[in-house]
Amino acid sequence: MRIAETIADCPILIVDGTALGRTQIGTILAAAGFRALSFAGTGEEALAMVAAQPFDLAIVDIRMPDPDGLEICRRIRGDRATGDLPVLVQTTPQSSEERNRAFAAGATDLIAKPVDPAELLARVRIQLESRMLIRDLSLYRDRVEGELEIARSMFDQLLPSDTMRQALRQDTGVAVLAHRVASDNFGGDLWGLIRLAGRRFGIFLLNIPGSGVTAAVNAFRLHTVIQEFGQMLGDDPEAFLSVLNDCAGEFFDGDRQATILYGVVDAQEGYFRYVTAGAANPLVVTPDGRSEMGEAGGVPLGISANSRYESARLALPPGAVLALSSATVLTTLDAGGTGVGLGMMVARAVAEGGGEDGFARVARSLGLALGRDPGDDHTLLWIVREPCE
Amino acid sequence: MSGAPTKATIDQEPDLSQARVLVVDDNRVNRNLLAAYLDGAGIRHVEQAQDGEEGLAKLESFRPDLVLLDLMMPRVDGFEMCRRLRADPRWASLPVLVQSNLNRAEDRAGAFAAGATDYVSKPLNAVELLARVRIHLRKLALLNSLERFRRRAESELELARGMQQRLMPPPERLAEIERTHRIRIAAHFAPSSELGGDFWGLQRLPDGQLSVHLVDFSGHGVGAALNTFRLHAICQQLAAVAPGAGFDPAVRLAQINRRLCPLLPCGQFATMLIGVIDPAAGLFRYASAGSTRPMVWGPGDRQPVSGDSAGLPLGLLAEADYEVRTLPLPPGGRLFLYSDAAVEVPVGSGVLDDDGLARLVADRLEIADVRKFLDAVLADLHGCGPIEDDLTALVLAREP
Repeated sequence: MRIAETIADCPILIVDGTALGRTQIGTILAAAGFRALSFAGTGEEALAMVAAQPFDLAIVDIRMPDPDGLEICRRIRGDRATGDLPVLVQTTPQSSEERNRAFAAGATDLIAKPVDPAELLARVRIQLESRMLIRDLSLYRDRVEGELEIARSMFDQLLPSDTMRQALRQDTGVAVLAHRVASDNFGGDLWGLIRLAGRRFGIFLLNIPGSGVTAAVNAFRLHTVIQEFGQMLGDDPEAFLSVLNDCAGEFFDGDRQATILYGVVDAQEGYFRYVTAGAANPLVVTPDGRSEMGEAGGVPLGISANSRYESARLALPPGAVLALSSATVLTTLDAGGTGVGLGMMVARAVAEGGGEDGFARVARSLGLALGRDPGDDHTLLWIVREPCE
Repeated sequence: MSGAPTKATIDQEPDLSQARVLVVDDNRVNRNLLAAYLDGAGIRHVEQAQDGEEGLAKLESFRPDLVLLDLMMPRVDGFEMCRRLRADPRWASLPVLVQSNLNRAEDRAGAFAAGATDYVSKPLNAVELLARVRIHLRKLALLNSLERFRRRAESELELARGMQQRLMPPPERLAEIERTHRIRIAAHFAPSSELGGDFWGLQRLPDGQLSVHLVDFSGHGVGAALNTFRLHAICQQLAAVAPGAGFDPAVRLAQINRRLCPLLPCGQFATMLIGVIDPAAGLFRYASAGSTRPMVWGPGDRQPVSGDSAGLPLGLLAEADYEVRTLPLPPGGRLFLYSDAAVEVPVGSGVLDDDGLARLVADRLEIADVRKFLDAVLADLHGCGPIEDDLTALVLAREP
């Protein structure tokens, strides 16, 4: 029986007190094609070798002088560095009790004494093949996971920094609070700010459906063009969305699409002028507890080159809260997507004093409501026009 | 990537509740004993067969992950069932544990010869039986999760790879530019993993001029690739708003850098070369943001001339300025651009470097066909040593 080339170079340690025992096992393994065989004649020697160099398998005779095979097993298992080394223990097959003690000491499997070549090779092969599979899988997964980890952190860096939000608050008197739960599969929601002249700024909430690298690629592309055109077209939501739709048409293949809400907050005049392309309705809650749901519609980005977008306007009196959320939030809170659930939640938080505490309460309730499906990411933006003018 | 195995599923004992075990034994008491042992270990899907024939039939209907097989049975015995099952490619790697009486070494040898994976000794010892069953089911679970992860990751990265490939000019566009600009183009694009940090492109300019650019982001893999999509989006927007009358590569480079700077996280940067092939002047005018040195040579030249390429990489300083340099590119002249992987091939204790690459190119100057020339240079490069970064290379040859 020849072995696969992938396991031929796996280092194997053969531990046996007798030269005959070592030779027997060594000869069988060498004849099968194993090339990296080491031998130890005592338990002490075996433990020193295992500590000094990496092995993929140890074959240990239970009857060994100083320490015996069971103790070797226990020490190999007890050491973090060697804890996962497979150990085949050679036992007398007649004694059921001895075999149980070997398993209790940490043996991975047993081989009978005197050694049976077919049995020895069967047990060695299965152990080494499994181990190589683990190694292969781990290497591939570690590399891909490492790459995705970098990509995920780059994705997070697309979001506005705390510094930027503080500066915005200082300059416009509008605080922007964000609650974003990202699936570990990135893609999904992305939001951002565009500084405009005076006490105005643009805010967008973008959702790229799907997940994984391709969704991330499209999020990065759209983010890039939003930055590109933001300064130029940020004051004109309708034109801005048309341009983004054109770009999305170039970027996306076939059936891909994205939804977006973009609007301008004017803290001087007290309004929010916005356009939506398949995004969820914006919601304004005034300090007196009234909530108003804005209209939403529009064809998602990337579907048709001819999509035109019409802006709508919501009044934003001092102290009002403008809530923007991903569609998931609305649909989860109430089946009809009427926003009553979110509206009530926000209204209650505003009535109880609003502020960061109120926002945190809403975010917490959202987490509970959406907790059933943690894979789906969602975002809630809470834009507060400060009451004291 | 959802559905990918987490560390826990690899390092811990697999969940055996989904494992399927077929017990084949003519002795009902034995079958029930085995089923009870398996049930005690959390294996819920156990099917029984009372001889080899029934066993073979149940392979089809039950699709076990493992077979526990008695050897001595009426009609089709264990040896025969093992042989028949191995003859079917679907069951080639199905683990089969035979139950063997300890006193019969020849049975064991015969069982292995018939294709058994391993055996468990009779009388049955529960600890040993379950240890061996777990080993095989664990291997199977690993294999499955390995394949699932790979399939998912590969298909996802393959999609992204297609998107990246489409950043570069498609063959029909190249063919058209070759025709309209009387130029021959050969290109090579090989990311070191599924996705890379390189890309290149062309832009038509007025007066028969043609602009070419080559980008090489720091790092490689998905992160670097995301940056290529951003930079490509910027290049596209700039090309759309400024179609290029009086195109100045240094100005364009500065515009790109200004846009890229705020987008790139600290520590990430790109090198880029933008050049214009000006047939009327017989020149290649270019600007470099830390790119490799462009090489040109004319008909009859024995070796290429390498242009200066000093310049601040993109993404480091928003106010960076770039300078325009020129190289001669008469009719019949050729231009060679490449990412830095080509000069960083390890050679001995160092790397190939600019001079080394220029020598490789010089050795192949006589090859007239641009594709064959590029292939020969790339083969020489691969002969020098392992190429561990994304490699992009581009040859543009003016017709004589």
